[in-house]
Amino acid sequence: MAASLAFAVSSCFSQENIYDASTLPDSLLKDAHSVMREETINFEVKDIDFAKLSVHKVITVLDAEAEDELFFEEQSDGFRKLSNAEIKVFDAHGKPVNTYKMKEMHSIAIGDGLVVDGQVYYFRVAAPSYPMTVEYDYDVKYKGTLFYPNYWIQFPEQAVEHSKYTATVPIDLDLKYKQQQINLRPAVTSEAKSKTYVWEVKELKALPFEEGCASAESSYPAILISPNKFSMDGYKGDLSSWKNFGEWYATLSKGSLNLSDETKSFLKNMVKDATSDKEKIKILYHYLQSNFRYVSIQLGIGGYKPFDANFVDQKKYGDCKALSNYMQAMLDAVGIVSYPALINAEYNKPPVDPLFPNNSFNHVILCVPDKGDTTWLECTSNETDPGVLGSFTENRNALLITPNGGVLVATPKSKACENTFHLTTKIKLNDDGSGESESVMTSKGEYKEEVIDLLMNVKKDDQKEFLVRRLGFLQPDEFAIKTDRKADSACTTFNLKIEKVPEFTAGSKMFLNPRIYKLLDGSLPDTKRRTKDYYFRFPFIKTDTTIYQLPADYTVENLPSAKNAQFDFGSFNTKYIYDEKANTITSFARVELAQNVIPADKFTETRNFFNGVMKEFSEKIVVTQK
Amino acid sequence: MRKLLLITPLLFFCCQLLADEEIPKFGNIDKSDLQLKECEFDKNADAYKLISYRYVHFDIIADHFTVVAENRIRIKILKDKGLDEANIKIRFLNHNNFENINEISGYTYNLDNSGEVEKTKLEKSSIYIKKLNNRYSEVSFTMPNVKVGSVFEYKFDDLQRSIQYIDDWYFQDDIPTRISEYTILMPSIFKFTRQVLAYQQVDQSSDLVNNNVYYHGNLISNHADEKTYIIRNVPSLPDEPFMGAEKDYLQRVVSQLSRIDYPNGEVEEVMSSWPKLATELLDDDDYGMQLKKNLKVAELDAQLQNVNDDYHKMLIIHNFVRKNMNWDGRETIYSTQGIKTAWDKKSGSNSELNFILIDLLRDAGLKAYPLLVSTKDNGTVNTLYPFLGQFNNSMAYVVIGDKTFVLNAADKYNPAYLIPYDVLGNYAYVVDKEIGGWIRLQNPKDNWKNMVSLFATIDSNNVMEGNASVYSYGYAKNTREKDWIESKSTYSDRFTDAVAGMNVKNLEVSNENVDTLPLQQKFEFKVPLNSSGDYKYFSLNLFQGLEKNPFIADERKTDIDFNFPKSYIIVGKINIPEGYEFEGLPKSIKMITPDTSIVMQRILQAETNAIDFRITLDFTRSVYAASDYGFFHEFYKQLFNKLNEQIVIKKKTNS
Repeated sequence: MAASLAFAVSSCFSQENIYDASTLPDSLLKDAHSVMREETINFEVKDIDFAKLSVHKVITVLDAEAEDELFFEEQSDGFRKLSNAEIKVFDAHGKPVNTYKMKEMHSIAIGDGLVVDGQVYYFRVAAPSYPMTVEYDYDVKYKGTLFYPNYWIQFPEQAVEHSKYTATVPIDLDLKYKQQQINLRPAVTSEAKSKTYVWEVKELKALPFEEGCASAESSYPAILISPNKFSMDGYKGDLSSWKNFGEWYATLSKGSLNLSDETKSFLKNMVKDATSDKEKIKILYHYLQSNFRYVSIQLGIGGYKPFDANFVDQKKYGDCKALSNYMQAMLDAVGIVSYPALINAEYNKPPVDPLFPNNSFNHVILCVPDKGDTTWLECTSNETDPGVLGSFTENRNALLITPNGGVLVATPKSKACENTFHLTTKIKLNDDGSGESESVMTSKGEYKEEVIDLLMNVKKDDQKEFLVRRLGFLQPDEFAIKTDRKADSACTTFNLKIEKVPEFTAGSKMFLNPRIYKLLDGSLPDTKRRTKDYYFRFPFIKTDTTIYQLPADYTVENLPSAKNAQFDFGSFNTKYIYDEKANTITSFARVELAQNVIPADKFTETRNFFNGVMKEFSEKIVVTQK
Repeated sequence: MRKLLLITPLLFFCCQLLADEEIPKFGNIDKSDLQLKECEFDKNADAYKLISYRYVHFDIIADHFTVVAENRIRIKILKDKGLDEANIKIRFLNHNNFENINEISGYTYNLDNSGEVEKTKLEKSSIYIKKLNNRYSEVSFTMPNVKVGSVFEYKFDDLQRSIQYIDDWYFQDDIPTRISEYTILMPSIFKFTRQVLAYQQVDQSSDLVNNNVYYHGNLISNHADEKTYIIRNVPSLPDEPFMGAEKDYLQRVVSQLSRIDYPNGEVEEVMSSWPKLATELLDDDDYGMQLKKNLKVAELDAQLQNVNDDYHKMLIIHNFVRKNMNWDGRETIYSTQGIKTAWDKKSGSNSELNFILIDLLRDAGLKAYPLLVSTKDNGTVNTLYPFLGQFNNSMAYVVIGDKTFVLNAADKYNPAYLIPYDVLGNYAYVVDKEIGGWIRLQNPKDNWKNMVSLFATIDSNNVMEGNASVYSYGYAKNTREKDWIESKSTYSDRFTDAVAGMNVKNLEVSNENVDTLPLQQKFEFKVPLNSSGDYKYFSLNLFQGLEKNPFIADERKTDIDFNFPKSYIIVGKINIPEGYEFEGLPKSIKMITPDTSIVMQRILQAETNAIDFRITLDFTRSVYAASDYGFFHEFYKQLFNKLNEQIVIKKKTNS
């Protein structure tokens, strides 16, 4: 019975039974945890506000590391309705063992925040043994057409045996596409009213996973597909240019800048003594930061329509759109022009392509233009300084929503000098190895936010946790901490009592670390063959000065050698000085990473550089009894 | 942990409480609370609950016996991190209209620039209801105009169509509470058993009030019992490493209906005893009846064909079910979809998987019974309190001769001979008419043991190169086996991450499918030595994951629960290069805690060109009370100091 079934299935295909794992050629097994045996995606746009998608996939899962492929998950909401989802499961020989229909799947309401956005249908297929094969089929009806489904050809560690994407569009709407990490032209055919694009791939070998590269959706082979014209909830829009897309976005937020006269005069009064626009911006931004809070709550047109300024004024909360819109309204009330800016946020997202207008934005910030001295405002943070974005939105292209439509502009580049961390420690070392230290730490930019979040705003034991775990300090027996939050920096002073300062002792010698915490922790991934750029979270400068006051009867036996390492994107310098008269050892260190994106061909060099920085900490200052 | 005491009303005066005066009216705020800068007894708190109040009473709504819980919460925001307290989500079971949330309202209070109280109302239009799934829905809203310094409050009624179970009342939360008051008013015909678990003083009062209840026009009760419980200045419960279930530490009131005394003198025992609950379960369609289903599994029959001893039959069936069935993540003692459906879908709740296991074991002639258990995360079982809500799984209890086994088919890696690690130490109830009753899930002989054995040579370029074998026994095996099977490519990270420059190759793992043998992990390693001037040094603390002390906090509120006694061994020999000698070797030592339950021993023996060593760390206890934290904390500090000591070598000066 089983055999005849398998035969029946295989007879549908001319060459091989794709449900049988043993039919896979060795070339596709190399470096792969799963193989896309067959994929057929049909996307058909019927009209500006209606499209249909049908997906068929057969995936052979080779081992447990690809078990994510056994997890089916699809969203269903007002703009995108899921139907006819079905999962079939086959054993290693291609024998069907199970079928699951949509009604047997689990579903859960989702929503980024407080409000329901739709449902997710999900199901995890059991894996009695590997290899095994799963087949997924489902249909989607689109009622909003802002997004055309992209063709994700290949993700790392998956080989593709055969895959085909067909898009049919009315000739007057057409579509546009962009190749990403692959050179693949569609076959295009036209009929009287429609146009069809077909992309097809065969026998793609698995690509390795490279840790720390740009976000997965921008790093692997895909065809990005986008409408020229679209409609969301009756709002028709145009993506043929950034300008037109900006106009559509502006229609959604039309009229949302109104504030009551009372609020307006309140705001005017607030800035009446300010002498420059910059100062006014600072005052209003500070008012926003200390009186409004970020709440993830999306409503209307799939979450694109911001709450109007009056609502935010009363409730004192909003999401990124609403808070940016409110900030814009406040600036407007005091006569300063500003524009919301759509952006694809996250440090590892590359900037959007100026030549391919599409909607891959997930965040809104505010831009206050001022010839050559533009101020950017992140309106969801209670900590950042006016004009400082941080790597979450720096190095990107943002779409400004101006009265003349959308304008794509670059956000500032991340600078090492904006993310600085300085620590100076004086430590008195006693005969028995114990010691008392005093440290002064000043941090700016990303480090400032980290320090506020993890050191200033937490309980005492959590402060200790931050010092010991995050910064690698020796475990103190007692500690006292004083914090001072300045306008652009976080300043902390802490005193530690440490029972055992030396890393270890041997006979009468003490082996001291170059400093009592770690300048850096964690090494870069050991990627054998790097083909993709590596993303640090942000560029930085860290400096340290540590002064050891030795016990009177101790002297130096060995100091580590001074370092002076340079590489294309940074430098590392150390210096150790023994002052015989004062019986003190001073160690200086400075490490700089000038930019956060490292080109693939410079990765090994970068890795070696940081290993060198880490290695320095393992060198010890040796002090010995006189 | 400060032990939660069981407080019975007899121990207390029934005092008249001044609660009504103490708790300000909804909508009224004292300016001083707006000026408040910190919680006086928990200075680090991000937010401070000024009022936590619930008034529970009985009602008949549309013919349904209904329990109405009126809730009031008032919170002061002290820090930025407390702002999220103003986003409120209330989940409720609206399946068959069982539960509903009504009468929501709220206010936020701030001081305006002139120092006057400014009051902002929570608008109805800002309150959302969403259906989460077929059973649960959620009311959500966010309070308006909230910033650091604000006080906000809200109230809501929670209506449930059952008087059998009344939600537990928690005096305590993850933020501190100024006053926590719980009042319950129930017609006297309903008799409840109630437990108050607390370590702080609980003020209580009781009263008998006139209260007529009519059902279908008949007076069924004419007075009601009112009980009030108050705790003041309740500290927050922190999240600590190795702490077990949060619920076990929270001060609370637990109630359950036990009896109904009808006006005609008739008495209905609602809750009587564990045996009675067990009998009911055995007759329940979603429980005992599932164990009578017949699953025909030809594949399994074939595997069992020539197996005669029960132990091996059990192993085969246990592995067969674990291999073929997927746990869908639901935790419940019942089978809601029926085990036939679960079997067909190859997916089910934890109990469904275990019922299938029991069915198949019984088909093979074994003695297998459902076992009610509560996992560590779900909390300690209270055997004095016959309430099924305490459990979150039904495992399989198997008796073979004089041996017993506890199996969980939803856990793919725990071997049959070990009690599943996530229920260890808890009580469990065997559901059966004949052998039913309590058992303690404990076997002192089973432990967690990990042994590293290594042999290495340091060459003249100061690179240490060698072989290591790691043997993981008992509970140390499960998680590693899972990692090995599910994420092979990152498995060796555990050996390399902690040591800078450590390189591991030719990793071979064996015995993953042999329950009775330790997981053996053999590999070659290579690591450059650290140096400073003439000195080179290296650590002997390798491959055990004992680099960082998890107990650096000075304070501890909850017990430390390791789940099982642990045993670490590192043994080996390291050759040093010709022409080098040891410099001031660390001493051989033995460290013992005052209670002798933790012993660390380090034996070092140096020859001219090699060092033999053996480091052992043994625990005989698995639980340490918060009150033991003083010595425990100090011991751990010294322990990690010693573990991180290095062996120093130096070129011989005269050679």
